[in-house]
Amino acid sequence: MSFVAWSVVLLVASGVFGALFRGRASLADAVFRAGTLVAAIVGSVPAVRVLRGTPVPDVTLPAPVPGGAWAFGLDAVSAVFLLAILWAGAAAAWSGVAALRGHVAPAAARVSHAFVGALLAAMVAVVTARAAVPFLIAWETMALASYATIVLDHASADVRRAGMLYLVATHVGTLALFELFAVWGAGAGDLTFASLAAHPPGGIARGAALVAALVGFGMKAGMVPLHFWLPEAHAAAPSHVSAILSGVVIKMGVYGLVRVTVLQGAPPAWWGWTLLAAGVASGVLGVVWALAQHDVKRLLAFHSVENVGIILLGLGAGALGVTYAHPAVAVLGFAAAALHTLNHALFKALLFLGAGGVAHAAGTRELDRLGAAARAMPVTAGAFLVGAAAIVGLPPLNGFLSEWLTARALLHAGLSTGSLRLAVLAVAVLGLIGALALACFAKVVGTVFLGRSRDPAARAAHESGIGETLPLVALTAACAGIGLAPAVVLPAILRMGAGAAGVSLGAIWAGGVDPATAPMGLFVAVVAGLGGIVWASRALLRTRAARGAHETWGCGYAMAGARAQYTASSFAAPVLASYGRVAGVHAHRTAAAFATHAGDPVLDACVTPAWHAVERVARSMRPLQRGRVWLYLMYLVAALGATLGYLLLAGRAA
Amino acid sequence: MQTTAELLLLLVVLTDLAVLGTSRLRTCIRAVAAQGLLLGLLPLALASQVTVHVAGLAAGTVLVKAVVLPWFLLWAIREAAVRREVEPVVGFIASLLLGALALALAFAISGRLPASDVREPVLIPAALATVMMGLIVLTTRRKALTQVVGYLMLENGIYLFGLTQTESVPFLLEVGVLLDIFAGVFIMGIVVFHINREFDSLDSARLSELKD
Repeated sequence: MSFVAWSVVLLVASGVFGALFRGRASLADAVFRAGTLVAAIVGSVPAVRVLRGTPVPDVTLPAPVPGGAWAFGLDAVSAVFLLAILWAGAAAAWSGVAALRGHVAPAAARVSHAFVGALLAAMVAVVTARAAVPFLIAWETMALASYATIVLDHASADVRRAGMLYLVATHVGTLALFELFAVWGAGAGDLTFASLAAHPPGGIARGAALVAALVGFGMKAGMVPLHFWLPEAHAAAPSHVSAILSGVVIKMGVYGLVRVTVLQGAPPAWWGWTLLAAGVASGVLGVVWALAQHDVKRLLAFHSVENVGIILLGLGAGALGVTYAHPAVAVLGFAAAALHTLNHALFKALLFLGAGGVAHAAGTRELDRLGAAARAMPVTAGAFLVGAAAIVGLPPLNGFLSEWLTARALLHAGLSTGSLRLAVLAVAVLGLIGALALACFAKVVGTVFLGRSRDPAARAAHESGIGETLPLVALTAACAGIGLAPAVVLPAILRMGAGAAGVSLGAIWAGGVDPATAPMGLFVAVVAGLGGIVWASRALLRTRAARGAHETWGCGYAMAGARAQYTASSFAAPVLASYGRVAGVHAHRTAAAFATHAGDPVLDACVTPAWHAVERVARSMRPLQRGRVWLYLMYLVAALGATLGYLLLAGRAA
Repeated sequence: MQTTAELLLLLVVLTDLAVLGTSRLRTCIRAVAAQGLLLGLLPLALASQVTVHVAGLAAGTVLVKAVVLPWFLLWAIREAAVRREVEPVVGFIASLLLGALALALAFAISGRLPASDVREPVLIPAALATVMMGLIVLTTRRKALTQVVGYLMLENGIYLFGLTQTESVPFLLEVGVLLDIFAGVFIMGIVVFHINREFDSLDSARLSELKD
């Protein structure tokens, strides 16, 4: 645990040093980069050790406040999340240093870096806390630090609005978490996770606690319909911050759901089914809404909703496996959820950083104004393509591995007897999500990187500097590495799943369950080999064939200008048409013009009207605020009198 | 001894009513100073034997409540050049009636309190009445200075409560109360000073310009 503590200290100290240091900017930046990298290496040591099966002793500090001791620990579940935080965080921090240099005032950039360091440190504390009080403190620190990083460009009204939406949403979630721990802790001696696990609430209290967990953690995870803050915040934040938000911050919600599932021992059946249903809704709606987007960062943000849906499918399967005493489903489900979390952190960070580089270079995030970026930015384009293939779940990349595990868990559920069998229907949803995601990334890669440049300003685009391409290459290597080495990754992740499900792996192997790992290495090798052969033969053919220069989206009409290219919206339109109003696309048609606007149905139809209603109620209470001291004192006296009166009456009744 | 203590407590309540009934700030401050003096004498009257501890408490209380704070407040009204409380939220006669009501309420409530003091039955009603009248002054007067006076009365009431515990809890409690008053008056004094400087007025209702 001391390694983890050092990692936290390094993250905070390297950021704060930059914010306070008044000397050369390059030195402060170098310190921050080195700090995040060393923190990632130092923090990975215990995480890898735990994942290889060696437990790390817990640390218990005497509590400075009520609520039991402040316990910190690192189990395999925490270790997976810790790796995601540290490495996706380090990559984003490295890229962020380069991205902000020259675009933001140096002092503001350094303060932003300091908040990034604090954000990463807070998340490390969230996943290692083993008591409610330090957990909530770390949770709130994380929420505030991410707010500070989101509103870097606070001169823009859109950014301020997105920041406010995020702040409101995250605090509603935190409120729900307070309720969760208050209800759960009422029956336990103190608020350490150990005593919470020993005294799970029963009856209505359990229902209230679990609903609060679903709201609090679901809000952070971006689970439909609580995702409404997510696209706004991700689009408003600087790209490296979006990478952290999408890659790891929303995963803290997933972590919370995993922790709650594990802590309650045998969860009730409705908990698993609710997670599964939320996974289906988030997965399908997330990708449909992503298809409709015109803004590349909003599109990626909706893909985060989709991927959280896939994670929830795995987690739901895991919870159901525990409930219905089907250890194979439980182990595979938890393992799938954890691995997809790690994978999504890597490829979503990669995609956001790549998209950020393109948006920086071209000066716009509008899909229909970008184009031909592959020519100007080959490294970014290559990395983005790999990230897109990974997020879609194509072999032999890491996304395929975790989606395969998810499918395995659901298929195993289908092999069982009883109502657990129904879970197999989610496999069809998983397939639908994959197909829609493929369509969506075909749209993104096609319009952003291929074709001709649609905007004169974008033509001046050039490759990002080494500071931004290096993290991209590292993340690409990580995505490919996990995908190509399932023999290394899967045993560790399955052991983690077994720990979460509370069963031993040997029992499952002995039960005749195919471990799903043995054929994977072979399968990946075959796919990689086939891909290599196709690539080589294509290269061979190209040297022989005469080369002609044609426009990718020319549609047979050679004279078409850049603006007449097939647009992203048109590409997505046929798919979206079958989803009707659910897709949230509003068309504005006049005699001379046609435009579409992609909104968020939940935000536009539910949250905004509800917000206005709250505002109206709040305004009707305005007259209470008169600005007179004596009146406020009257309020205090009245409140005190009411409280005393209540106590008097309650005392009489008792 | 009991009769002396009862007499002192009666006088404390009378000073409360004096603050409620007058519009002259100088009189208000003098009444609070008198109250401080009475409070300082009370430990002597209540104690079965006068120890160094009790004497020290009495001396400290007299010094702070009857000398330093009133002097400070008088200096403040001289600096700010205010004399009278004009247009209180509740009139002076009505405040007196409210004060009488509070006194009756205090006696009614204190009979039911579990911690009624056996040594001196009037102590707790007097404490309650002082707290309530302090609240009345705080909530019905507009001048920042009168509100300081109300705050002091409130603290004096709490001090009276503390006197019931002098035997069981050492005088840490009283020191706490004295420090509390010091802090309160310093803050309010600074507020008074600033209000006077920035707004040319000591009317706390004018603070409403600061709302939002």
